[in-house]
Amino acid sequence: MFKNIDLEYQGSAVKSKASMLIALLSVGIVLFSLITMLVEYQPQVSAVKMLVQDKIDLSGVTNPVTAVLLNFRAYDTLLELAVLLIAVTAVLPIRNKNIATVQIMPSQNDDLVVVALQRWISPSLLVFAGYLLWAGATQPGGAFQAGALLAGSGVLLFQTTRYKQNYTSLLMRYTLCIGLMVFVGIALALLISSGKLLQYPVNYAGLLILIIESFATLSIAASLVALYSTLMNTAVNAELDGN
Amino acid sequence: MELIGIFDLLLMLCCLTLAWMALFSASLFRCIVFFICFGLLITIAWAQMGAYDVAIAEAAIGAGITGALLLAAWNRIRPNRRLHSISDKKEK
Repeated sequence: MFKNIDLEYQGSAVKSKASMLIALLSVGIVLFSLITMLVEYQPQVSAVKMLVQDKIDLSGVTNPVTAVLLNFRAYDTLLELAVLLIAVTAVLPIRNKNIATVQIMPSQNDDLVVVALQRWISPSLLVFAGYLLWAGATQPGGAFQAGALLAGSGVLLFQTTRYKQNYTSLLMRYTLCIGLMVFVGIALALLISSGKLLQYPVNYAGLLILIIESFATLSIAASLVALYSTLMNTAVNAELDGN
Repeated sequence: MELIGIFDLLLMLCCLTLAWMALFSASLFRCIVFFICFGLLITIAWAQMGAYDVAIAEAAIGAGITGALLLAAWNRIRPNRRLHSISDKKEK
């Protein structure tokens, strides 16, 4: 290393072999400590789980995750829907309300396998998303999962060029924000009637949660599908032709 | 060591390997495919920890929508894309 001092050295500042050795050692040390910590981890029963299980009867559902998301911390979910709406608004194209929401183009020579897959799977995905929404009260499921599944089926439908969507039509704009509107409407109604923010009356808690979740599913599915469509050239205002 | 411990260890090793391959693979298409596989293994990890709602959301959003989004983006930035069909995603 110190054999010859080169006055006109123009290479890199660090030797690549030394820096790689140091990086490998540090990664190895971090990995070893993480794995040791994980292997010796003894999970105790957490206090939050006990608290939620105690008050689960007040929430109107029996799934603890749905109870926390839609009843005990409903305000956070409301803000989450607002954030999703802001994200979608950032990627929407220029407003064009004259074109219909979905246009069916005559099918070009699409791949037979993709078309068959769409025809067979999309209806069952629709039914399954509805089931996930309904089962969210008692089993793992809920609004976000059902909305994500619907968005997945939308992504499947956009793999061919049969449908052209307009995300700024009136119907689509209402679908994008109906989840947040219903949630804020229920919060305002509760605030006016009982003076407390988002505290559902115990008899109607299950019904209110179902209403909020249904509209939130529509909004979430529409938002995720809009976020995906910014890259596909089936949306209106695409700059490519020939599709 | 019981069988579920061996399963957890294999799952961890596979996740780390897939993550490495998703970052350092030869072509970008392969990286995206490994990322989708990584998302599916993480779904199994979530289910193994008992968080089934997160597992469903991870499978739908993390592996499904993000994977399709990455593939659509890759289709746009390829240097020699073919304009006549968007369902043709074969690696060049």
